[in-house]
Amino acid sequence: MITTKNQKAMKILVVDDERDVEMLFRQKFRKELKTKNLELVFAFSGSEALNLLEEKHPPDVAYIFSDINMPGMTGLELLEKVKLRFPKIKISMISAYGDSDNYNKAMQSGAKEFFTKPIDFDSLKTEVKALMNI
Amino acid sequence: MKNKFKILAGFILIIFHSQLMYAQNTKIDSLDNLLISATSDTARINLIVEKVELISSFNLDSAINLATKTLAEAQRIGFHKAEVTLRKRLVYNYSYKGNFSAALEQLNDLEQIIIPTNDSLEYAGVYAGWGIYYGIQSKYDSSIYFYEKSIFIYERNDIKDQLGRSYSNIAIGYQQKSNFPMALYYQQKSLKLREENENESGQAYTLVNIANTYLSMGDIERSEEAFLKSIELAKKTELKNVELYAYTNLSSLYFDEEEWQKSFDIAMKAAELGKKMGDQGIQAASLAKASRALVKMGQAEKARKISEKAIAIADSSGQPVNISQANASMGYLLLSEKNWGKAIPFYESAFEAVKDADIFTPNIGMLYKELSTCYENTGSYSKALKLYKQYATNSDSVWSKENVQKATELAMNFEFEKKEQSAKARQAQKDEIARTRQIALIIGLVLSIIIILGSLRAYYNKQKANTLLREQKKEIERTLSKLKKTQSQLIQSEKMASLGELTAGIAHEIQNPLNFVNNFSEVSNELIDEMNEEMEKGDLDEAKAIAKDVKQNLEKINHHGGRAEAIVKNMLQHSRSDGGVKVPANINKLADEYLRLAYHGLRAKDKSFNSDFKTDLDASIGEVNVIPQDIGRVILNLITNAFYAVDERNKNTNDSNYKPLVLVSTQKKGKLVEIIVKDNGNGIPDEIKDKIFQPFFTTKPTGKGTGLGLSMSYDIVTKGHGGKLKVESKEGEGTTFTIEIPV
Repeated sequence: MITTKNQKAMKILVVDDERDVEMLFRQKFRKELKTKNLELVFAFSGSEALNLLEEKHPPDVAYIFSDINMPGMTGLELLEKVKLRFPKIKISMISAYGDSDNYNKAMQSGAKEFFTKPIDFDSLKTEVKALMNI
Repeated sequence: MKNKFKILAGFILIIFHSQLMYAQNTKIDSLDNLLISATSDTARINLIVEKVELISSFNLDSAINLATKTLAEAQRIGFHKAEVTLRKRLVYNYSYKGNFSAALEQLNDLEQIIIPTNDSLEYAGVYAGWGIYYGIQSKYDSSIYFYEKSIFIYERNDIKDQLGRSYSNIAIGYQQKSNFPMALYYQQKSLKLREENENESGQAYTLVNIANTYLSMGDIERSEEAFLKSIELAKKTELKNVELYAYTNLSSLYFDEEEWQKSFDIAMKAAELGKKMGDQGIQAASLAKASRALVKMGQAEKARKISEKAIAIADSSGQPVNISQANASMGYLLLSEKNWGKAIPFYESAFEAVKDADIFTPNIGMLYKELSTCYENTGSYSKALKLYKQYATNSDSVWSKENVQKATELAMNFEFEKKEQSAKARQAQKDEIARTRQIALIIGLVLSIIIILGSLRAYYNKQKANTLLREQKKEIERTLSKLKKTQSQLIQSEKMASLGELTAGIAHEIQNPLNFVNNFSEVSNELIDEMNEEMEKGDLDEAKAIAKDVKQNLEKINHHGGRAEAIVKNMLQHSRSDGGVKVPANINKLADEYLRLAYHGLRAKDKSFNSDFKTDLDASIGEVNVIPQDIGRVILNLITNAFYAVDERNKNTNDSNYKPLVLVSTQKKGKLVEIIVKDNGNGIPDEIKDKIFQPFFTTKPTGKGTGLGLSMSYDIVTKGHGGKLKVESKEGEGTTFTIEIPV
């Protein structure tokens, strides 16, 4: 489990089985992380993400970005569980498969946004900034 | 033959055969008995006609009396057939008696009653009558003429007994004209016919005449043989007249052979028999012969008496030859006594008697010679010369080489023919045996041919069967090669199918590293900008930190580029159809890649599919010598199957706690490397466990699987790598496939 230095900053969880995602996110949000307004945490599977969320009551994670295609628990399964257990946490899906099945299922399950890979970091930044302004 | 050209002393007495039936005294007795009980006139006349025929063979006068009497009766009741037979008989008997006017009268009457009938066979009978009438008068040209006519009719109607008689009688004419070839020709025909008919009395007649011909030719041996045979048959059949003629002529033969006593004895025997039979002609001739024999024996007085008696009897017989012969015998006696002058009138009488006859025999020639001698000795040289010339002409003609040769040839031919016949009989027997053998041979041959044909047929059938077998073999081979081709195509399509199934997964697996490449290069670009900003601000530490990140990013770009490249490489290798070569390969990496490929492939295809998967890879196995694409295929196949199995179970189970899991692990075990693919699916039912490696065996629905995956995997592991592919399965617990590859 990786956490940011600033505990006061807004915490976002990224779930993806590709470990290099963390490095990419940290570099993309380098400025935001530097101003200490944003904190990023990473989980590499659905179950790992749930474990992380269970650590604090209520969890300090405000927002989750999750991949759909993962071995074991998929992003959609994670979405359902998060929505069930932590209804306050907003969650958006990022998928390589931008088909209507996945999209509809995600939206029905209460996903805030549906992003397709390759990730458009500009729109992702906009989403994060909008979240931070709240 | 020493006597071949010797002139015979005395005439050969000839006998015309006229009997329809043959003399048997016992038969006459039985006929008399029948006559007593005969009821009708015709039956009685028929019996009498038969009796006349029989009597004719030994007593001409009685026969003539009885015939004349019966003829009147037959005429009275209009019995045509009997009338014809009786008149014919009278013609013969009058002729024998020398009563030619009576014979001629009968002949004319015969013609009168036969003409209206227009019956050719009855005409033939009349012709034969004329033949005898002229023949006995020694008018042989006429005799031959009529006999030819009768023979023509008889031959046309194939009347064998009449032909035998006519042949024999026409031959007498030829013989008397010294035409031996023709004589023998007809006599042989006659004898042959009568031998065929087993007519012994007929043979006796013919033989006596044949003997005469041989005698005329000077062929003594054959002549004597024929005479003796004739006598034997004549006695056997009670044929007195033939016996008589044979005796008298045999006498001439013995005379010719200078056996005087023998000649005399037999001549006297003939004379006596002739007298008994009332045949004066033959009696006279026999006496004449006896006289000559006596002359030779030096008994002149006895000879004179006998010759005188002969002349007297001959004159009353009216037969020219016999008259001539009787007179000549007296002439001969006087000649031997050198009483030339007295001899001449007798000789002249002898010639006078035969002047109208067509006789041209050696006897006549002899008479010319004897008379010539008489004239010579009495000084009548011109007469002597003339007569001698006639003798010479006669002799030349009679003894002409051609005549005798031809006849001899004929005689020889006849014997040869007989020998030939017996030879033929023997030959026929031999032929029969040969034929039997031939038939056996032919049967053998035919059987052989059948066997050969059968064998040929069998051989042909076998060939045909072989050809068929060869064709079938070719067909099977063609089919096999087609199947092999199809199989390789199937394997290829199986490869492509497994790849196709994974296309989406592959795309995903490529897309991910490409995304990283793009993202890392993009972010690096941004970082360079920031780094410049920091450097302008003078914050070198921050710039250095950014530079460090950029360097890291470049490494990531390289890493993900390599990842994409490896996937593409594997994909190409996977679809390659040619047999690869063994190269050292990282089995762990291979297993990991294919696991991901399979997972993402199945995920991409079926959104509902999900399964956890884990790897437990033994880093110590290092690189193993394998054909990477082949082992990759096997691993992919086993993993795909494992995912399918867990997904099936997941979809059909009510157990919410069921977590599908596929575990891929590697481990080193001595000289073996094991690759284990384990799933927690339904497991393989026992009943199909031993079928799973068979080609085309599949439990998947139609169109979902080729059924070649495991069989292909089995071949790759066992044949391609000398390893083993093991399966362990428990229903409801899962399946474990283990690949063992020797290091």
